[in-house]
Amino acid sequence: MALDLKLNISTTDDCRNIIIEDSTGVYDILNNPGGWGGINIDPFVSVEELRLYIKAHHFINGVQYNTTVAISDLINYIVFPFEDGVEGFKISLPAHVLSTELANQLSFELTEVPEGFNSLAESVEDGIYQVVIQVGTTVSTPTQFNSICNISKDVDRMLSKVGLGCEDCNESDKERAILAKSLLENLENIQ
Amino acid sequence: MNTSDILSKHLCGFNLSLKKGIDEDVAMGSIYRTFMGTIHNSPEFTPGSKVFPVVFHVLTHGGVDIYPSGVLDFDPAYILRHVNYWFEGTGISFAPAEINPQGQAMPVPGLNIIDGNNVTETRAITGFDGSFVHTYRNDMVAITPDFKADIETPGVTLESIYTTYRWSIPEGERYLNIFVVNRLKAGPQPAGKDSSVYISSEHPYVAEQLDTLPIYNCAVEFSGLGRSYFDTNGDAHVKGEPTDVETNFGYNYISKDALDVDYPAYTFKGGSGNIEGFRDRGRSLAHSLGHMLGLVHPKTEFDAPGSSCGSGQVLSDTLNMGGAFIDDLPDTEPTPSGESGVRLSEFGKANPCSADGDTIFKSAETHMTLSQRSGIIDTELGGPSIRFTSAQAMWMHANCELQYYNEEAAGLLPGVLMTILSNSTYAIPPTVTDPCAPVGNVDPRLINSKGSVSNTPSRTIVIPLGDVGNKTLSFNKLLSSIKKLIPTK
Repeated sequence: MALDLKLNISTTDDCRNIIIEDSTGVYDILNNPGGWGGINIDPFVSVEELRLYIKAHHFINGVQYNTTVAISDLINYIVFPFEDGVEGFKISLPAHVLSTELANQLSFELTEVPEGFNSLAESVEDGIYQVVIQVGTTVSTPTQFNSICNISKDVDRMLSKVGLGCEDCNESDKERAILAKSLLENLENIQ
Repeated sequence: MNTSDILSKHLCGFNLSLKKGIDEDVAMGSIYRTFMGTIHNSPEFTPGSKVFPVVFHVLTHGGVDIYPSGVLDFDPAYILRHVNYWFEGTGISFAPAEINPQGQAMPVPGLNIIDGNNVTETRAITGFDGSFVHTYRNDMVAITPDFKADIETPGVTLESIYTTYRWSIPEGERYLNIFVVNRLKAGPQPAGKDSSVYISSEHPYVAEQLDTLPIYNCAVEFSGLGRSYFDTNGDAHVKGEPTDVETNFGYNYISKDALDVDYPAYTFKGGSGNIEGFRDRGRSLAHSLGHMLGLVHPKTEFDAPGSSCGSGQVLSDTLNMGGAFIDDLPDTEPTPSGESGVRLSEFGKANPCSADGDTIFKSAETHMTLSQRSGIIDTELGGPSIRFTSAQAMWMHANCELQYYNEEAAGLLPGVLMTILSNSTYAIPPTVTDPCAPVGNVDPRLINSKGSVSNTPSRTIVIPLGDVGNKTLSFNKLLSSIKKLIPTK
């Protein structure tokens, strides 16, 4: 089989960066036939041959947009765990870079960026993202990532205020916090 | 005059499919309307833009040439440019499918040519023994085989063509299928003339309730698309764009084949006087696609042709009983002869169906009123039947949100429109412009040892980033719900 890129996607704790990590591993005919090297593409390629595409399924003022961007200049955001090769690469893309690219694409498609879209976002906007990595002519299967960093922080803050130690919290606040936590779990599980 | 005679004089065969839905006891119409109304009237319903992949199944060898200039002139992209012009402002558009069901790139996007010489159907005829072979070449296309109880309609039935040639993807529909045929027939009329029907389409709810998705298509005569390649003088029409006076839809009716044998389609609806096609510039197709997206004729009255508003109605009680087929949208109103074609001579008259005292011209300005073949050129460019109303646009979007409870799955399954949209990227892969990738011949000095290229102009590459279906909507609803629970900082 061809190189089968596997990606782990997350955000940093402060929600300011989206992290895309290669977990493909090294080729092994039995245990990892889609890995780097062997009969597949070897990992000793230039960083210029890596391309990152992100499709954001997002809402702006209640209207849904599905915006795909190609991230250029990956060399500014990528690190490699090994000296000679891209295997295991880790991309840390700042939120403002992603939002600027999305704004550029939206203005290209719609002639202007919809009002309400923050093109210099400090944190990764909550929403559904699909990520694809291209290596030469090989393109990975899209990996879906539900970004819920910001809303998770809000819910955690809510829960901490109505925690066990809070004696003057009313039941209504507790119920709201528990409901929010429950809905958050549903949000995480949309696949 | 019986119902079948009346419907055969309608220009659009859609009412026939509704009638069939009633005959087959399509149930739960009121539930459909309740569900639709909930979506349609919800202040939170903010539909996103939608692009439907379209494939034209074009039947050749039936008296119509799609190579009149010597090369292929029938162009799906050109036709859909016109259709998309009429859909502007709705958030809905159409694009030629690029990938066929086998996963192969289509030589001409959106075009599947079917050899009409192979299209036949063997069926019995009421009152006669044995079976008869109906051919596309000589008998053309019958909307339904038994439209009239006593006289059957010669022709290969639409159902037979649909069943055999439609691009069906079980559990994964991904195309809107449009069949382009020589002539549509709905049975002989008393005066000896044949039917007026030139387009036909199916309602998604009826198709799903009948559990026969293969009928979920539309069919249009070549002449119903718009102007032919040649005019009656043998001069080529100009291939104009939607706002141009003249158009050319890349087909030509021909009277005889290479062996000098007549093609019946040539004379079927009036001979040489009717071979140039209607001057509607894709509007009849816009009308048909409106039906496929769940619209019915305004205030569906099923009037007898020529009758006044509110009189001479047929089928209304039966069809309204289930509640599925009523257009009670707030911004449409019926017109006399709205089912059989509003005539130019009536445009300036007061519309007796209008609560606002509008003229027929004003009332007929929605695409779902049939006026597409009428009009002098300037009038036609400015209306009527040139737009979808706001409520119609939202109704089409709402149909795309429909899901049905499935007992086997013990849960909701998406309706056909939602399914097509979810799978559309299999038919039209999204493209992303890569500014660093090569175009055309590449200077070999720029190719590195790995065979790749850098610092060259752009090309388009295909990245398999598809739709995520209704997940985004669910995600956003949940996100909004949680935000409402969080106290304001």
